[in-house]
Amino acid sequence: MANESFIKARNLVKKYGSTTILEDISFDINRSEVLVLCGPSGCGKSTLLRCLNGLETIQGGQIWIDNVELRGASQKELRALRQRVGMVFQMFNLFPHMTTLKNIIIAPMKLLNKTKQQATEDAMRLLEIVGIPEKVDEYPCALSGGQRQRVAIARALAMKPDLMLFDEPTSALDPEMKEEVLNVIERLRTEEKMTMVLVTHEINFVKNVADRVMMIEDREIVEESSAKTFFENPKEERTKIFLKAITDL
Amino acid sequence: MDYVFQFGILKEYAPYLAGGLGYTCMVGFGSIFFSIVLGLFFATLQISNNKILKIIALIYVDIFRTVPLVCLLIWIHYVMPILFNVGGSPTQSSIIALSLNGGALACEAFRGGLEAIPLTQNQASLSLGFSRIQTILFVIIPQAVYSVLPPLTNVFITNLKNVTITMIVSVPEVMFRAQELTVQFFRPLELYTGAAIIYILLIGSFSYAMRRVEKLRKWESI
Ligand SMILES: Nc1ncnc2c1ncn2[C@@H]1O[C@H](COP(=O)(O)OP(=O)(O)O)[C@@H](O)[C@H]1O
Ligand SMILES: [Mg+2]
Repeated sequence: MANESFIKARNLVKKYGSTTILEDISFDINRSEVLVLCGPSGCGKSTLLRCLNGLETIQGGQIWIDNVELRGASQKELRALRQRVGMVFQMFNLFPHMTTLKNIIIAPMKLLNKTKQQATEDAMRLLEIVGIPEKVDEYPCALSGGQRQRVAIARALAMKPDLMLFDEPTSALDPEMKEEVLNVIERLRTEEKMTMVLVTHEINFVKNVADRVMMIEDREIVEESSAKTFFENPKEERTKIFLKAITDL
Repeated sequence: MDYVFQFGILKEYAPYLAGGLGYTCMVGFGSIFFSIVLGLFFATLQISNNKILKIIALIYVDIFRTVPLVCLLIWIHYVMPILFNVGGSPTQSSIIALSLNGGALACEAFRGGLEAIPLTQNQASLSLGFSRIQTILFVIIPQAVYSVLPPLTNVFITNLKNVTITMIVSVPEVMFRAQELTVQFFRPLELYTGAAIIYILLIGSFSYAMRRVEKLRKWESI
């Protein structure tokens, strides 16, 4: 099965009650590929990310992550899957009652049975990568937004994930802090060859890191193409309107 | 005003007044303990997904935080034995009444504290691969402990102050003794002031201790 896509979604349907949020969504993502999701606010980007790690149940279609079919998976299998899928949120969602170190080591210790020493060594290495080893003993309340987001990335990476999901990781940050977080994500791509699905509207960043861009609007995929085509030669009228709207910001 | 204060009476009878502290603490802290148990139990029902359990908890809270404590105590101590042939000592009846009332208030405090923790904490924890139970243990409870402390302290103080009401069923705590001595010596001002001071000292040191516990928190919510 070596040629199978790492993520495969077929005819995915997501509803909340009787409201359909996503309908007939199909796509593939290969290992080490970076897919950027975009679309107007409320179109279901966050919902789709949550579907990809089984935090949301879907009402139709199928999703495979590394050949695990999510709808048929047990709770135990889903938890095992989530351990391998890192998620980074717009508002960071760090655990405020834990220091930076504890935020990073708690999951590897409790879920991967690492000793405190092993987990701490790994955490320090990750803090070097995200550039804030000196913040190891601080509580989240003492960190800036950009530092919080970098700790959140380190926390997700500590589980050694095969896939990282980013939900607007920089939209709550000031411009200079955006840069420090985007640099970390870019390094994940170039140095770790991490498979990533990103929701972001940072156009220059997307042009640099995205292999493909997928735009969602009105429950469906409007356009899916290489980053170059998407920005330079969009096929769909709705894509052009959307691109104009976000560049005018 | 020709009232002549004679606080000298306190010199003689302060030990007798303070002797009621044992009962005050037994009823006060006993009812605090059972208020926590009842509060936790009904708060769990309230946040469960079961409609019927939720309604049961709502009814409990609405009954016992609205019934005046004096009526509740009289029902439990005097009416229950007549109607159902069950009853206990004044101390037992008082602990039951104060616990039922405190439990309703504590339930609201616990629920508010749990709701103060954003759902996104849940999501972050589940996304790392933690189970629901691990999430509650590692993420929710350690935060909830601190967010419920201030409202819970209010409930505990209310419990302690409400002990004074138990004098209507003759629990020999501080206020009852003040009344007893007043009947004997006609010095209500001095004796009730003495009782008040004892209560103020007790509740004051209790709330000081609770503040110290709150200060143990090294982090702030973000
Ligand atoms: N838990 C939920 N229950 C009901 N509706 C929801 C829930 N979460 C999101 N929605 C709705 O689904 C739609 C898509 O939301 P979301 O995925 O957050 O959009 P986006 O991330 O693209 O801005 C919105 O209309 C939102 O109101
Ligand atoms: Mg969103």
